[in-house]
Amino acid sequence: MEAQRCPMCGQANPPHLEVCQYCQARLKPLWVEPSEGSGSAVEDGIARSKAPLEPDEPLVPEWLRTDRMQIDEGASFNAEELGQEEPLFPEEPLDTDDFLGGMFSDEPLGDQGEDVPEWLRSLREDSAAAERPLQSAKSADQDLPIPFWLDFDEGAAEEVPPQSPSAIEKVPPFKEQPFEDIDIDSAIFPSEQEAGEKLTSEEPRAVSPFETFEPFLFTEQPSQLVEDSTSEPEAAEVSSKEGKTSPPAAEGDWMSEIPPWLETLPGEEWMESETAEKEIPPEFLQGAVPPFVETDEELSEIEFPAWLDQVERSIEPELDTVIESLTPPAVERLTTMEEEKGEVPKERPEALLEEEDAVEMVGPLHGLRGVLPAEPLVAEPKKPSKALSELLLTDKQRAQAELFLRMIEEEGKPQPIPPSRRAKPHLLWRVLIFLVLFAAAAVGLVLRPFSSAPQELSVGVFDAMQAVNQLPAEAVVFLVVDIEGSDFAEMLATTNALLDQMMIKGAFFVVVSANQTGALQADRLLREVSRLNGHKVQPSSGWLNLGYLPGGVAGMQAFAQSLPQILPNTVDGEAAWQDKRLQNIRSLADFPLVIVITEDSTRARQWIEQLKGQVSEARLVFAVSAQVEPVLRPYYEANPRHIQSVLAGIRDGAIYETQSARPGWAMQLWDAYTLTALVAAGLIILGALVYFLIGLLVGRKPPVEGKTS
Amino acid sequence: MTLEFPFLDLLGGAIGVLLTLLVFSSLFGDHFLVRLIFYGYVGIMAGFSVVITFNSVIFPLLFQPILEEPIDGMVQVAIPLLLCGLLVFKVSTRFSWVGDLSLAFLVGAGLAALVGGAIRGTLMPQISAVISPFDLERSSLPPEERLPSLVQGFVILLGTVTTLTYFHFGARPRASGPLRRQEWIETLSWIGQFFIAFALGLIFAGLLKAGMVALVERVQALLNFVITLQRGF
Amino acid sequence: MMQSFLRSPFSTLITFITGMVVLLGYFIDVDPLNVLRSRFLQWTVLLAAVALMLGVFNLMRVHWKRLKESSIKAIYSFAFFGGFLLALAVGGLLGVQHSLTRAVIDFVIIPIETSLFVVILVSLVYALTRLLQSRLSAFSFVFLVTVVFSIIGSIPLLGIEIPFLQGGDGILSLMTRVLGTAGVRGLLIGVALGSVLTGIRVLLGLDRPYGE
Repeated sequence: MEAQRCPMCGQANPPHLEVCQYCQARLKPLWVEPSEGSGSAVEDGIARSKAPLEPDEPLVPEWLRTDRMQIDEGASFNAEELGQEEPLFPEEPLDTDDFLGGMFSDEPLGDQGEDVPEWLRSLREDSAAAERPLQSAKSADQDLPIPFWLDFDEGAAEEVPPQSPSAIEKVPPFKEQPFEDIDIDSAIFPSEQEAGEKLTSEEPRAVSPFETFEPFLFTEQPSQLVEDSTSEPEAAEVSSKEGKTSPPAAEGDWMSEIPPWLETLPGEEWMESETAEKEIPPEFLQGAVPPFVETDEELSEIEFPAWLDQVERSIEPELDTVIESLTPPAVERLTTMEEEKGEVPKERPEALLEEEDAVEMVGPLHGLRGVLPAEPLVAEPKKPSKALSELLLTDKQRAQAELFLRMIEEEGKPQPIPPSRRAKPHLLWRVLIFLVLFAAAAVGLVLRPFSSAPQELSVGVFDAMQAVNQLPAEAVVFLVVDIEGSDFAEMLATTNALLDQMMIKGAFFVVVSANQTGALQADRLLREVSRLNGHKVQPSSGWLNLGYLPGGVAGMQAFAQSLPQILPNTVDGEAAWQDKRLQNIRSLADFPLVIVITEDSTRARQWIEQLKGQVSEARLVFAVSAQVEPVLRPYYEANPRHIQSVLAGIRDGAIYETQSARPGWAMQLWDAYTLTALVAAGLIILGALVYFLIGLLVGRKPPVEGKTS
Repeated sequence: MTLEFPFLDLLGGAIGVLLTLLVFSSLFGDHFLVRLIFYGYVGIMAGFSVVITFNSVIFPLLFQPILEEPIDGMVQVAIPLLLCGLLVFKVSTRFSWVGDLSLAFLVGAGLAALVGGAIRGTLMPQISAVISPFDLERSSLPPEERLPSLVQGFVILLGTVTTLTYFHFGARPRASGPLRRQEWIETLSWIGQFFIAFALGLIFAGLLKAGMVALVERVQALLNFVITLQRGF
Repeated sequence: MMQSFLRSPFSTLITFITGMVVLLGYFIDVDPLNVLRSRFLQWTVLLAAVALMLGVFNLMRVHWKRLKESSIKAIYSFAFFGGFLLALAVGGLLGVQHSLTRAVIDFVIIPIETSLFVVILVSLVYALTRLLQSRLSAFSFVFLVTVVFSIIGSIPLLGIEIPFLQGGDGILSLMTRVLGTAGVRGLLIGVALGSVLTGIRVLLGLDRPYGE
């Protein structure tokens, strides 16, 4: 007895073995019941089948021809050597040529020695006798379990009418990207295999296996094309069954009947003449596209399940770009990322997990664990759908489709930005700053006086004193008080001496404010100055509060032009301009002195701009917060000046009080202020130094473009 | 502040101290009481704004003329009354467009005042101030002070020009890279940043000084309250 | 129709006319123009006051909605209305210059605002200490040094004034007068130029902040 060659690894095995001793692949098909005396017939068939392999054979491509020649060389070994169970080929990894050589070699057929399979028998008989072996095969099928990939409904092909070529074109072929047609794959996979099997020789498949439903594992590994050899007998069987339209090929000439998957190989221009027949769609399309569909418009009218439409709409814009990046390595990366995140157990359906862990039971991947689930989708027998307009999905397909869609959606979703590593606000440092400053202020207030009063007479204070000194007695002074409660302490310190001096001279104040509550602060300011310096000035007798001047710069301009028309009443609703001290005043130009008291630099600038031309510069004095002084400096330092004087901050207030020999509010706070300012400066220097060193030691991230501004 | 009743004065002081401490506590984080205080504060300010605005402007300009002389007053305030009436529609979502007319008037007058003030009060005087140190013929300074003044004027001119250049964002595309300003503008802009940093540093320091005075005032208020309590009890 | 007319061409025309009358009054001293300008400005003041009242009304409406929702925020809105009614009662009924009004200012408004400013002060000092860590550049350094020198220069150091640092001829005075003036003058001119350009765009109808 001859040694049997393993169809998987090509190694020679003793004839009594059922499983390859090298790769553990099954050597004898389960569905074939060996029959006696068939060995010679097989040999004859093999001998005849070698005829097309001659070099002058025009149908076989070059690569196939060389492969066969290699196999022929390998097959000329001594049968005795096989009897010694020595391997035919050295134990090396199999390559593509080995698989193809095994496919076309005689050994697998010879192994079946005792019996001839049905497909081979049908090749040897003429069309009239083709019915008999089929019947015998059917009877054998009833006794033996038929592999699932042979268990297709024979009558299905007859039930499905041929489809138009346009229907084929609407389904994109499975070309380079395995998931390119994912939205319709779920519909076409179940019937695809059947369609490929049921095509007769007269109706060759228009789409080759490489382009349609071939799993990408196969496309990546051409050596495994040997799997397709199992479908050839079936095709021959079907052709013999439908012998009326397709006369079977002569015995020994079966290789001239090119299998469908070879039709699209390079160099097969001879098939172009059969283009019209190729356009008949495979059967898998018959389950997805109704036979009456001829145009795109009709195809678009098909009602797909709602969930699929919804999903398709949501991902359609992104699908093309995403799929292009979904090469198998990319899918592996995605899977790896999910596994790293620990999301896989939550998201993946159990069916998929089982598939991944399951052992492949058929095909060239037999015995391998964890292969992608291509087989069930391709080879599972399905009856064609009766309801052609419906999309039939198994649970497994739905789970896979959902998983894939989820993967795509995950890719489309913006990844959450990881939390910034920016250090949290150093609460302790802030509290420490507060406590230190608070303590410094408290110590300064308790221990005062310990600091010297500022002695130097600044230019601003000097000019302000001059302006006040030039005031006539009981003059009417216009005060703009634009201050908030937060700056009240500083503004009181700044203006205390100035207002005190004017009160001494019996000045009468007309007060207005350009912010809503400034009128309240103006009242409080004058009241406090009066109280602190021992005056008994009251609202009606000492000042007139006109209240709030709305309108911003327009209000200032309007007010500068015509006071009585804009603000005729006081803040309490009484007539303002009835006082006989105001009889001669109709505009700002009529006041001998205008003092703007503000802590807002913008408002100070606006007052200067709007009072320009309305009030003489010599009569315009600004008493402002220390933060406003730099803004007013260009107006004050200009030649000629645009304002008469600038009193800025507690320092100028203290100087004024010192120069006028009437210590007041500014001098009350001066000691504590100087100590607090000194401590604050120390804290700033110390803190900046510490954080600078921390930044150098820890390392600084470069500022991100666009965030730095 | 002294009320007529010492007890109320003490109570007011206690309220002030309590509010001060509560606001200080926000340094440790935002909490319910601080928010409550702030909302109440906003309410008080809004209430005073309404009272002051009504007393100062709306009543005397809009209603008083009608009350004093109904016919003449109505004629006098007809247009502003119409404008104000249209402006009221701004609170309505549906008829907000009716108020656009009044708003257009308000914007036109306000921006014109802004433009006029900026030109007359800042642009012309400040440009003149930059130039004036170099006008030696009109300088009133004695000869020995003219050179320092000239140097000072040059530094100010440099600072003004470079600071303005910093805010020039015109750029041209370059074949070799992204949009960039011309080299000489970049150089001037770089110098201008020093002047800007210096000016902003001065303003920032002024802000800190004002804050320190506020801190001292608050500490003094707290100490005064404690002293008052000690004396009272 | 009416809506679009009021919005686009008519509003733009109103803005332009009003703006031109007010603007020309700065440079042309003609009586009829001045009278008209004065009227326009007076109406502007009135409109601004009404706009402020509407703003307060809108604020009240928002808080009233919150009050009706009876959520946790309703408590805050309740505090708002409490303060609002207090101010209306004290300022409106008793008068702005009444002693109770003054008490509200002295014991409520001033402590809150001043304390808030202190909190801001602490935050500013804190930010300043971290300046060089977050952004180390020559300009940050100049900024920081300027701040420190300006603070130190405004006070006698424990009763002693440093001659070259402080005083009218000191470094600080020179820096403030020359360098500070130069920088701020550039900023002022820039701000003025921006104001002029923005104003002219609105007056000519290129921008319409008052509607579509």
